[in-house]
Amino acid sequence: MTSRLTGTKTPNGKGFQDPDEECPVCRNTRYLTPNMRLLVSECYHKMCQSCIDRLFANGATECPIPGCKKTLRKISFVEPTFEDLSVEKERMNVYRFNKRREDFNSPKEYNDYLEMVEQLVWNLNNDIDPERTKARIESFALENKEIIAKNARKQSEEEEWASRVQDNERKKKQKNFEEYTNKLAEEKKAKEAHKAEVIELLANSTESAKLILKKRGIARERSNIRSQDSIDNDNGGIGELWIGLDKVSQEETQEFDPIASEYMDIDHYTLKDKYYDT
Amino acid sequence: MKFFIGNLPIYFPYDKIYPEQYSYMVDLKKAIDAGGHCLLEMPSGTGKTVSLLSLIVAIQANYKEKRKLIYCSRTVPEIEKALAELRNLIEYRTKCGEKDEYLGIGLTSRKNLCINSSVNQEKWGKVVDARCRNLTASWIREKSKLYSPGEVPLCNFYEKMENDNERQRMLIPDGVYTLEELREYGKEQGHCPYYMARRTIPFANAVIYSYHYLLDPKVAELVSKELSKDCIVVFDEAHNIDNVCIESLSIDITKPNLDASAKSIAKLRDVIEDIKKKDSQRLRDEYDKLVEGLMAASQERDEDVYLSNPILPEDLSHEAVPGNIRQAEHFVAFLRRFVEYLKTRMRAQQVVAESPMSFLQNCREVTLIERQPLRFCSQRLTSLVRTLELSDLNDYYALHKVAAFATLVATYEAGFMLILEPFENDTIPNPIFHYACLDASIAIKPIFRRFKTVVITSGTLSPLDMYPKILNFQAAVQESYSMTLTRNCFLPLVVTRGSDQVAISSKFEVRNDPAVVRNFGQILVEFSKIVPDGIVAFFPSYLYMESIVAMWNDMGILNEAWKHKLIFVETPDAAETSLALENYRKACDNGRGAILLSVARGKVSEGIDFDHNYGRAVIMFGVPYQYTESRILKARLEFLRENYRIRESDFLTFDAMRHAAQCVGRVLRGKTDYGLMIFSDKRFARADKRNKLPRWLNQFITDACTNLSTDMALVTAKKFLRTMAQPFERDQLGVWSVEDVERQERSNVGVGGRAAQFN
Repeated sequence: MTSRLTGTKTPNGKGFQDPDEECPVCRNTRYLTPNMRLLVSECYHKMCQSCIDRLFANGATECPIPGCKKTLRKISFVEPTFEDLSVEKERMNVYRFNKRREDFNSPKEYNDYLEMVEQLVWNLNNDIDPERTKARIESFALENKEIIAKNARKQSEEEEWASRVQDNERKKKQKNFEEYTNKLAEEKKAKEAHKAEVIELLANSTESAKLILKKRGIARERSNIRSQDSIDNDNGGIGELWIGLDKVSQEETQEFDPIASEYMDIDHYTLKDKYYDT
Repeated sequence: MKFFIGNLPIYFPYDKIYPEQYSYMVDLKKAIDAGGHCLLEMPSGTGKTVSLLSLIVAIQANYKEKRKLIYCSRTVPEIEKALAELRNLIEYRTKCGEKDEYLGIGLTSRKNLCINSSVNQEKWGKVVDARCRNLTASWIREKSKLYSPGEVPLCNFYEKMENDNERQRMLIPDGVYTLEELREYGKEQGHCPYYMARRTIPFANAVIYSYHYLLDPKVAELVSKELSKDCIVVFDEAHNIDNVCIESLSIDITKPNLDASAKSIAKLRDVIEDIKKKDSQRLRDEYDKLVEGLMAASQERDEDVYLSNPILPEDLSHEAVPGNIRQAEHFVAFLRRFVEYLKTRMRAQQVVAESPMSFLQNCREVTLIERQPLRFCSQRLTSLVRTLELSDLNDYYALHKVAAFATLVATYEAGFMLILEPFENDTIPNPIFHYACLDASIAIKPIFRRFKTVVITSGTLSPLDMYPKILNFQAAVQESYSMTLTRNCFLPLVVTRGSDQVAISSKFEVRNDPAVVRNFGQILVEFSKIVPDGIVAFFPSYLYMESIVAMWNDMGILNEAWKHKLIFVETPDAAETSLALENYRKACDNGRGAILLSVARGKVSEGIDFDHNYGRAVIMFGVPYQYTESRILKARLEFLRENYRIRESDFLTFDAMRHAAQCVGRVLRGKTDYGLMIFSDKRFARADKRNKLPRWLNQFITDACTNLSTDMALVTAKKFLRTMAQPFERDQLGVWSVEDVERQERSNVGVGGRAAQFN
């Protein structure tokens, strides 16, 4: 509870941070130095920016954490993504395994593959048989070089596609919202105009007030019905998103692409200028 | 009395029937015969429940196919009331010589039904559940066989039931049991009432329980799995059903939740290590089962299921569990990765609103977690918990929430939104991840699809076309009934300005204006002078109530009101509120009279009746709009606009008016009752607000009463109260005897017959 109340906002824009966090080298805590930056080394050890500046001022040295003999450079420190460093480590190890469901014949094979990957990561992380594990990872990378490269490309394409879809959706939403607000504004205007008109009539016309109100009331209802526009379901725009995204699919498959067809040349009939007889 | 609708004989346990009850039954029968859903609005307190039950019981008794009745209500007292009504009806039928074998049962949580004194002392329902499970789980019972009796604690009631169960199949003789009677019966027999009720559900003719048992996939899967297609499902008091649907698929994750889950993960890891050393066979068995994908097929006893899937059964994936979470330790590592990922997201500085798709995308980029294993999270966790035979499941609550979150995120795309709010009130850092369901129709869709007839009924469903829209179904019958009254026993007044002619409104711009606050106060003071006994006043929110009461105190208005009545206040704390309510009732009974200040959407406005002297007037201060700055509400409004073409203002007004109608409906709980209903806000006078009120309420709002100032309202109210104070002669207007019903039935048949000729 206390941490919730005292959690500080740091200038580096990372939001909520734990005030009890401390640098394992100099034992400085965030409570005392609110803008302390903890970075992480290649050997997954944390230390604060000022310690790094101090220790590695004269180039590469050994890691200051007892028991770790790795030689480090200042440049090799990075900002950690996760609080838990073992997760950070796992992530670095797993990125090469990007085979997909399509690359296997049966779901069982795929699942076995997934399990194998997980086991390798688990071993690395817990230092079980590190040499063999590393060798296996290397051999995997070598064997599946092509697939890995292809999947990496696929992956980036998919990301691109997803971001385009999202963009498109956002734009559509924006457009709808604008339409909606415009419509509201228009309606309001129409309502006011109608009101002004009635008052005008009441002031100047010689007809009885009741009659005017009745007539106007009917007229307004009618215009209301008219203004209820038809729902236009516009799903267009998706087609364009494909442009520049079908590299892989063209490479490996020559299947019929329903979306591409609209750009194909049409040769089995010709268009005339006119279709009148005579 | 007994009468016929068509050729269906109906026993009605009273001598007289209101015309609207009769037409309600006729319409209901139409809908059931047509096999469609229906939406019926009838004021509560006019015998909605009894008409519904008598018709459905008649159908059950006379139709060839034995259809089961599933009656869902909101609160425990309402369930109890419905059960009592049903028992009354069955007794009446037996007295009339009908020999039905009828079993009606109610179900509520363990907390309300448990009779084991070592467990039911617990205050929290969740703790009771966990404790119960520690006594009844199958491996604990297995274990107890290995040890001498008494060493492993078990629940005696459960054990006795199990023993007797082996000998005789039927657990409970025919009859209708209220929850209290069920407990009594359980005590008498030494059986556990909770499990007794749950096991009798497949055999019962009528089951009465709470919405959640049908709508919330987490419980529905356990309780309502075996219900057949031809059940008649009734949702009573269903005006909030869309919110129940939405809540059942929404989840909020906080930072403390994540910390707790990280701890549970560490604990799980230790347990796994431990078991690996001692009894690795157990983990291997589970693993083999998962490889085979036997997950769904595995026979589980319901007592053992601790966490069920938060998603709807039809969305459940029947594929094998993905390979990377098959091993227990891999799954734990996977969970840790996901929790860490959520933690990094929680560090965001500004509000993030994103679709589940973009969340998954980002999750994959950062952690390389794919969608498929996420989907299996809660299923896999259940299996793991069962394999490890964990007790003290309360400790794993946060982790379960995270797993449920993962499953939901990876299952649903459309109609959901993720909203991350890093700050509370924009200042205190308290990050919350809301996974908000925006589409009420998702949770209820399986119900509409699975059951032929779903009846949605309540006192306030207007405007009727809104519900089919937001729940996305087609109603075969959709009807709102007016109320026949022997005398005009309630008087709605719309007060738009104070005695000083200043317009009053709870609009944000003017609501703290001293003139408005004073005028609100004056309404309270003046009405406390003329109204006998209890007055209930409703505010749009706690915040506004607090500020207004503080201002009234400064202005001396509270002191003024004090001279006439005692004042009680509802607070967000349930215990405090029930104490206030109790004393409020006492003050009303003593004749001192009292004022209860409460909040629309609060506990008081939903479940508590203020009949007769407990409520002679109800005052609505302002229109109870929702807090429109809420991001979740904004997202929902946008969703409704985009997908169902419901305008934001329409939905907000609809929501405000249904709550207003609920509030004022509290005061009138029957036709002998009478009361004032004062709407004090100038916005109530507008036609677009008024036509969203239920028909039975609208029919009594006259043009003369729609634009009053406080003093004018007082004159009218005085006159009304004086008329009401006259001795009430019960004339026969407005109630029908058997003859009237028969005459009506004949004329119906006549009309039908003539129509048939024309065809």
